[in-house]
Amino acid sequence: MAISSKAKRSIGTPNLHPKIMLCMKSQDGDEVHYRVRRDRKIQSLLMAYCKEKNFEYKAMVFVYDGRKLPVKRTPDEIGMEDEDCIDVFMHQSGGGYLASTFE
Amino acid sequence: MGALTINRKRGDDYFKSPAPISPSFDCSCAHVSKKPKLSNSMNQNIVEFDRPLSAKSVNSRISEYPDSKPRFTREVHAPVRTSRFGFCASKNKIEYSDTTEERSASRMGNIYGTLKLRLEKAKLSAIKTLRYVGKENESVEKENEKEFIEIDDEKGRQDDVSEDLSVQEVEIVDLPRSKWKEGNGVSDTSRVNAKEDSMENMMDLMLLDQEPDLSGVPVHRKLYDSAKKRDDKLGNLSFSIELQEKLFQRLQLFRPQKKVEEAKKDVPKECFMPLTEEEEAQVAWALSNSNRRRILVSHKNSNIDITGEILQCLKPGAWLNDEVINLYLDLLKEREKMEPQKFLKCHFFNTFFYKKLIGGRGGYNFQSVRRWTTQKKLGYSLLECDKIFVPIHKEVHWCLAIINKKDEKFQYLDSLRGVDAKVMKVLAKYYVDEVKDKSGTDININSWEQEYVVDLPEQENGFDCGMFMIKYADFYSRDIGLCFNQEHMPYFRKRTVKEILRLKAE
Repeated sequence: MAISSKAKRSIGTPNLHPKIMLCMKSQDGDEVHYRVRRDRKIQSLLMAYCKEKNFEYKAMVFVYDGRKLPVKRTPDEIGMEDEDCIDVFMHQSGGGYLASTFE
Repeated sequence: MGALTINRKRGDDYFKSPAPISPSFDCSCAHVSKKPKLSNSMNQNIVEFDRPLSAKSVNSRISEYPDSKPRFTREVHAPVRTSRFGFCASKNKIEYSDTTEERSASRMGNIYGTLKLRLEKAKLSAIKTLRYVGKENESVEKENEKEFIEIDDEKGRQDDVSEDLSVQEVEIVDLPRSKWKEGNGVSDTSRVNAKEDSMENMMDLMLLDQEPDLSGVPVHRKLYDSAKKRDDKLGNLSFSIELQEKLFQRLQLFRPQKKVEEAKKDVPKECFMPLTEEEEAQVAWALSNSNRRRILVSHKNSNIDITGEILQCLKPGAWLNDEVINLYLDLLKEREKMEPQKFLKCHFFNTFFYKKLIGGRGGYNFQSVRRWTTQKKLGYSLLECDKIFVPIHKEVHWCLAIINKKDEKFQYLDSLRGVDAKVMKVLAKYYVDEVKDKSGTDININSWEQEYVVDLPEQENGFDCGMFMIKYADFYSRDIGLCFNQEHMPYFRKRTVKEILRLKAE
């Protein structure tokens, strides 16, 4: 797992700011770890992640412990801890018919 | 052009001819036809004025058919012979019939006629036994004919008659043969236009052969009778069908009656409270395109911001998205918290829960959702809940699964009446693991029923399943029957818009 390099690249500021290790889990089982500042909006991480994974940010939903992540908040505000995971989902929608033929 | 005029002339001839015959017939006659049928038709053409007579004779002949019929059926199987000899034979026939034998037949009257009948029979049987010889000896030689008869003698079937026959055969070789070929009756020989008769006779035979069978009952009659035999059975069946339907109706009367009563008793009016004009206007405004970009409402607890664009999915005919569903389910939970005495204690998982649970290796991963239901996060214990609602998203379809602790069963509701054994299995496993993880006790869910709810409001289109799904959750969390149907969906959509705008489910 390429933890350090990516984390350092995303936020490369001095050690004065405490950092947190976060794990992004996508639906295909892929995990990416980041070290991010605790006092920065989580949104920046998410956008960086989407850019790297070639996801469209708007099409994704980020869920932390079963709740949608408040993207405008910082890890500290959310109460995140080291090694916590963020689940990445695609937005879902559905209406009916096709599913019955697929089943 | 020349050819055309000739054709036209010929065409005129058709119309001038006394008997209207199909052109194809006549046309082939113009060529040197080898088919006796055609030549007959030509003759028929000439002697058309005799028609009434011959027609009359048909009646008289009918009585003799049983005798002459077998001959005909046999002859039909040898069309080659007919075509080879029929033509010239039939030509000769007129002369013969005019002159010798047939005239005499008429003169001698009945006795001779019957004799001749027998003779014909004998001949026929002889030929039948000697089919191959007969085929070889199709030439018009007298010796051959004699051979026939000799063989016939050897058979010893009709000694006297065969003697007689031999003499006769010498006299007229061709005639009887040709007559057999035509399948003609013997007594008709008295006719001057014997050939025409033979032709007609054949036609009659053909006609009659189809209808009267061995038992003498027409085929259509037989069929009709046999069909009629089934009338009783059909009547019985239709009666029993009717009976069963009535029984079914009566049984059904019992079932919904209970439910409707229950539902009517329990369903508060607020479930179907019509929107006021003001609310309608608000809904219409929220769904208008001008609000697409604007955040109409933000839900703090779920961190969901509802923009006009997201709300568009509540327009009639649109597919519901996860944001609206998750928000509505959160609103249902808040509703319950506000009035806990009115609603069952429920937990509503969001639409991602099941996906997360079955994600990863092995199709089941409890650890990945273990933290989703901590007391700290929820503010209540999952295990206390009477019902746990699990929205199931399947590619393009929304279903609802319920862990029903109150009734100790797992339920699965699909507005398209689908079934999914995997959901049941996974949820059963999850609940066991969850109980063990949170309370440290093992529970036995072997006795729990797995119910695919079948008497549920069904979706009749390809876009309302999301709406059905959240309404199943709504009604079940009230602990009332699912007393709505497809017709209510447009209303529910509007109502949901209203409830989301107010962030309050009613």
